[in-house]
Amino acid sequence: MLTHSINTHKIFDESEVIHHLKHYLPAQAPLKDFVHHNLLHALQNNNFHDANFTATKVFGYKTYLNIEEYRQLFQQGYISEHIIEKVIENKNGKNNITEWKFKMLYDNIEFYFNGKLGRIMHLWKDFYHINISKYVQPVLFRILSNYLDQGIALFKFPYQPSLSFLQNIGCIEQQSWESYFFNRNGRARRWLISDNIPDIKKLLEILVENEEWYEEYLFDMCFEHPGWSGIVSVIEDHPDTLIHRRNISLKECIQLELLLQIDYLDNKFKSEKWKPLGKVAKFPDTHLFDIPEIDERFEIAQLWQESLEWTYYEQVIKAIQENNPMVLSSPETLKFQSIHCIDDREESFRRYIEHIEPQCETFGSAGFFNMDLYYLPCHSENPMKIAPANANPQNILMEKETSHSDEEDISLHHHSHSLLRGWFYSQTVGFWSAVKLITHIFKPHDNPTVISAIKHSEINSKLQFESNGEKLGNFKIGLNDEEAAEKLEVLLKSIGLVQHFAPIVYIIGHGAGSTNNPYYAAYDCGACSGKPGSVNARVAAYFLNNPSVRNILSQKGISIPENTVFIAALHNTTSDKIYFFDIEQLKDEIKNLHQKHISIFEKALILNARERARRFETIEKKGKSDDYIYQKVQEREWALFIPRPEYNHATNAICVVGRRTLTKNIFLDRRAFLNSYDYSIDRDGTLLAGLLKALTNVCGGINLEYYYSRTDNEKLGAGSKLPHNVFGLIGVANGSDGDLRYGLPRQMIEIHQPLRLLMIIEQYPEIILSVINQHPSIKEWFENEWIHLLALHPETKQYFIYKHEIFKEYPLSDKIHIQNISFEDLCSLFESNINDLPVFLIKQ
Amino acid sequence: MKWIQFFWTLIFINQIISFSISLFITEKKEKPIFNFAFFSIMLNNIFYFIALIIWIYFGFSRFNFELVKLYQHHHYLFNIEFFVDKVSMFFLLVGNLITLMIVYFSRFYMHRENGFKRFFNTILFFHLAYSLTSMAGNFITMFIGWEFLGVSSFLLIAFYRERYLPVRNAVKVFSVYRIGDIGFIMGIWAVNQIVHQNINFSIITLPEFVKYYLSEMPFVETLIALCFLIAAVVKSAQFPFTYWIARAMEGPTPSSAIFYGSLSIHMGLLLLLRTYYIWEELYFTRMLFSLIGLITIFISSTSARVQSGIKAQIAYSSAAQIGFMFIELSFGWTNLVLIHFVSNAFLRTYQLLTSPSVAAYLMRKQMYFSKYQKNNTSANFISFLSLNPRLQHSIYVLAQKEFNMDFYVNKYVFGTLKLVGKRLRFINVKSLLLLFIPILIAGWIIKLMAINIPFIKEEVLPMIMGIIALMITLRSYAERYSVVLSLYLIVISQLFVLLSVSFNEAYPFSSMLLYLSGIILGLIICSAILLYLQDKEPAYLDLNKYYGHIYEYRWLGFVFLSGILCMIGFPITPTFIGEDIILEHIHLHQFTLTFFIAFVYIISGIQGIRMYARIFLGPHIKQYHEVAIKSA
Repeated sequence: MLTHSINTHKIFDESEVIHHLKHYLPAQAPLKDFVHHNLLHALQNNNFHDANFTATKVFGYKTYLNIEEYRQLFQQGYISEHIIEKVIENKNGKNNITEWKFKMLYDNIEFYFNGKLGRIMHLWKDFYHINISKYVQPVLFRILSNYLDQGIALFKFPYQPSLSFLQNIGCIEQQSWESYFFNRNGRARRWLISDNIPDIKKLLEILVENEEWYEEYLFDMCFEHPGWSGIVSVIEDHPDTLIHRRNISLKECIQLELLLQIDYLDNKFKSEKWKPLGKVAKFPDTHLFDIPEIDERFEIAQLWQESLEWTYYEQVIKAIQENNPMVLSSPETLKFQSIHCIDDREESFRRYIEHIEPQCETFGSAGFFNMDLYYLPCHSENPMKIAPANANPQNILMEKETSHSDEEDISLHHHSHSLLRGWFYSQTVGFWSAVKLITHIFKPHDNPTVISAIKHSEINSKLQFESNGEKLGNFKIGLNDEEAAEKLEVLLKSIGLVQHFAPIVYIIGHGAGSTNNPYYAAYDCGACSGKPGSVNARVAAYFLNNPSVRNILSQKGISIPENTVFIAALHNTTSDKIYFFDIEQLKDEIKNLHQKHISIFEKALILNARERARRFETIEKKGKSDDYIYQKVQEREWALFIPRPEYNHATNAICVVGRRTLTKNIFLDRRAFLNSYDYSIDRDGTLLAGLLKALTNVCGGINLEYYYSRTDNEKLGAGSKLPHNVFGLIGVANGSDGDLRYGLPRQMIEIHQPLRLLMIIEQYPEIILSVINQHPSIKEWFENEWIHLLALHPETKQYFIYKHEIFKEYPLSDKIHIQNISFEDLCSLFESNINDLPVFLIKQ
Repeated sequence: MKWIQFFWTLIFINQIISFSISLFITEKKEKPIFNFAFFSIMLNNIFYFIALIIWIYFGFSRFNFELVKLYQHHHYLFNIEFFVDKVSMFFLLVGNLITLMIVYFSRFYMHRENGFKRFFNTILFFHLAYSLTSMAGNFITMFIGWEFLGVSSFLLIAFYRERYLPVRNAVKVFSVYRIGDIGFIMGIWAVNQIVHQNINFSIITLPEFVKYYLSEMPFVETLIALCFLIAAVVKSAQFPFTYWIARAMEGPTPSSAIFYGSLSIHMGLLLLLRTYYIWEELYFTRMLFSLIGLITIFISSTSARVQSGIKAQIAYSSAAQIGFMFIELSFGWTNLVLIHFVSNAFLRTYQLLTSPSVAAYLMRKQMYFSKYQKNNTSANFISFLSLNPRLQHSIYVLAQKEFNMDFYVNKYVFGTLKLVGKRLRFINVKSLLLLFIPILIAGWIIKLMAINIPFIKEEVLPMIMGIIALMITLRSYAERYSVVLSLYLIVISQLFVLLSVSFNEAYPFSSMLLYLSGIILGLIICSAILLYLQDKEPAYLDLNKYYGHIYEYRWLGFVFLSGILCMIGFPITPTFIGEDIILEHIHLHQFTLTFFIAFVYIISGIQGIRMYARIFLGPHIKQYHEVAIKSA
């Protein structure tokens, strides 16, 4: 069942063990590069349920909801009885339905989540009555956080780039009268300063002696503070994630901790001759990764989980089946088209645009619009990646001019922490802060602490789009026409926009805005590595307007009419504002046309804000005007006291890859990633392969990060964000002594029902199958059931479910009814419902 | 005057009533909880500002008035008194405004948080404590507020009571606070012994008065000044206790802001302003003030500069500014201190409330502006020391370790207590039954029968009893296993205290009853709960680790805490008055006896809270739900 199990023979292979550790440690990058990922990525090569079981038994993670919670969802109607029966039937056979149903509903089930992790470290307590970590961890955390600090401390670590982590520490240790160690003359400190540190094996020999348990000891030790160990491991692998780079490696971090432990023990026993664990302790009978047989309680949880999922999925499937949207009369009457990100937050926006202006088309594509680039802001020297996390861009886009200025907030200034200036500041600036505090609290407004997506690339900033043949480092500056055309061809073909172009095509990137929010990067576009998508949209629009690029495109079969214009825009998903770029260059008639559309977008955004507001309990909605609600939603971007400016991807559950006509007029409650895709253009599945590579990673990553942050918010999520304290600009911890927290905070996932992603692809099953079989990285997601996959046969409209390498027809139960609802009735539901709504078909 | 008095009384009554009512609001809905708290604090502000206007109109008068007499026996008087002057006006101004803002802020910030109601209860309790301390007109009133502050502080730091670190740190901060309380108790006792009456602040802030009583006893005067200094140093996080402020940053951001950044941390200054004339003429003490201030400034500002966590950085900066205020105060610049206090309080509140923005604010600068991207590792390192790298690095490492204050205070203060307690292992159930309880009974018999014991001088007996009381308390403090034993040790030690003092001087039976009332009530409550738990959770009931039973027994936890507070003489039962009366009966020359008894109170307080924390707080032992790891 498991691909990795701890080496049970007595040989300890250091590099192998470190490799295992790195595999299992959390892989969350520093705050500024927040990228959603599967929190159980280490177990992704196992089946989803098996991985969950392992994670619980080994690490103590809670990987399902409590049975009580499922039962409550059942009471509330989020799980239907006939789905339960169907799930049981599929899993345990038709004869056992009653028995298992009884167990699910009524059995008294006690679940304990005590993982095996921590047993070996605990031996110190059992046999010596000492708590090493209590003394070692604070020192270690302080060293690490100061060493990796990116700009909070004013006295920086005297870092020497030519030295390794331990050499740096040794260097400061040597040149100081004060020591990190308890014993100034102890062996541990001696080893460190003489740069002659025994390797991990030797150190463990001193501490543990019994080689069989070395690996598990290290696991215990590192997972006592997974946050710090994890970030060290991430920085080791991606040193460029830090603006101020630091040499560090997990191995050194482990060595340092072992040294500190030895030092502590030497000090405690007043000699170096204490007995290692191997001499005094009784080790457990089983190893860390020895997993017992799966027990019934887990099977019950699995059944509940699948029932919860399919209750919702079947509604979506049924709705798509019943949906029969009005087909556009003719392409000539099209007013405009807009290309959005696949993001679940764009679903409602698109729905409202289509509602207000039926003569339009909307498309969904990963929000970097296939423009994988690096971006260098005007005043910066540090390029940032604006492409999916696994992409490897070759080009860099430079900003030439911007009005983006370096705003200061005097009260946040570092000087207030210094000696004399601090005295002066706190005598004077304090009164000014009182005024600011009052205005901030009673009337939130824009201020320098707000991170707004539009600051990424200001409206009037100028970009260097075209390549000038020069290079910056390894990157080509700008794009030449061929490169641009190549990328754009893939973009247009993959979303199926190759003919019938409207006079204006909007390319709308998205970003967010928030204040007082260390997680701000998680709110921006996931396909742009946690940056807003505005620059990508501008580049795409620029080159699509470029005649020579159009020439190349027309040779490839995409002929864009001469009078079609592409306009880039940015949708701020927090405040529901929209910004359009590079408008001045347009012809007057286009400008006039565009002016008319602006009001459509704005109206759509007001409605969108109203829909979103239903989740915000603190906004009064009953009897309030749309404008009032819009205003309140906008304030959430600026208000210091709002811990949830928006709900980001919470509630995401499905991903539809197909034409918009499948989902148009279906109320999906902002739970769907929508990727436009026309099966008829993609006869061999090459485009689909490209799409799936991005979609599985981006959407699957988002979905599973939400899933696990929700099921175990304390061990896999970050807990409540209210006590969080920012450390070194790289992470957050609780209070000032805690370990770094990873995963998502409670405020981001509280409304999320943990559902795995269901991906519905409109394409012939054979083609999907061949794509999957050609790409093992894609296959892993579906084969191991991390994502459910359904194929929608384009001709027969039948559904096929993927399971164990084949597609089987999916029988839809006939007990599901999708309610038809008028637009007005739907809107009135937003006034008082804060919970997930069922899928509706909106009457046209 | 009458009107100011009227409005001040209203403030107090409003706070008491609204805190009490707030306990009974249902926690199901957030809005009523918030509305109630906001309304109550708004009302306070209104009362306050009316009082302020009248006060200004009548020319900044200063006067004392009595709110209520709680107990009187001969010349002994226990009353709640208030004092109106610029200091109390300033402290109330800042307290009222900041609390108002914080409450409004928290309505949204704390939305949907577990313990929404608990948070607002605690804030109201804190506000009551803060106002009571600021308005206090005599030491006893101030001390009541002071004790309330300590407990509300514990509750706010341990707000996330299901995690390990907040609970551990809350106990840590509470313990340090109690050390300061020894100073306060002894200071009050000494002043009362000299003056022989319940003295109020309008008198004590008259230079002539203090001269009349104290100028002949410079030693006693110094002692008193030092006692209050200890209390102030601890409360205001000055050297060597500065470290607690970083540990206190465990609650939700607004509570950290209100408490440790701005309000609570300035209370030490208030105490020093109140006792200004006691230490004004003592140049040694004033130098000591300056010295402590200076050391704190150095330590805190270097620690702040090295901190890589934003909240602790702000906290240390704030402590450094209070170091400045200590110096300003020692120069006698009281007005400057007040201005500095107001400004610092608002600045730090603002900084703490915006602290989560810092990541984004600084990171955005780094991402978009090259001047922040330079890898200037040592450029702004302690520049004036740049000539000597060894010194530089030493200071760096020291600052990183927060000058080892935590380590040393732990080792020398609490470590010593624990060590002594461990040596006292012979005090166990057996020896209690065979030795100490017989001694206790014999003592009472001797006392009640008025038997004269030959060969033993009369002053020695109280001392012996006092020492026994202290030993038993220390034993209780060092008890790491049995909750029940620890509980009974505390009670027995209190009985020895009573015995000790009654050997000293006759005092009325009624005050003895006062003293015992809370202890017995507390004992009954706590024993009953422990019995119940013993039945329900036999495997998870000792002092060896945190069990987090509050997850399942919420009300029980609350009642247990109340019981503990009764037992340790927290000012909610008459025991508090009893304790005060008892101290009244120790003479000025019996300094050590007072010290022992104060110590008994303090240690039993710490142990009581610790018992509560170990049983009810911390990560829940039964992990059938989400539980955070210990280091989280």
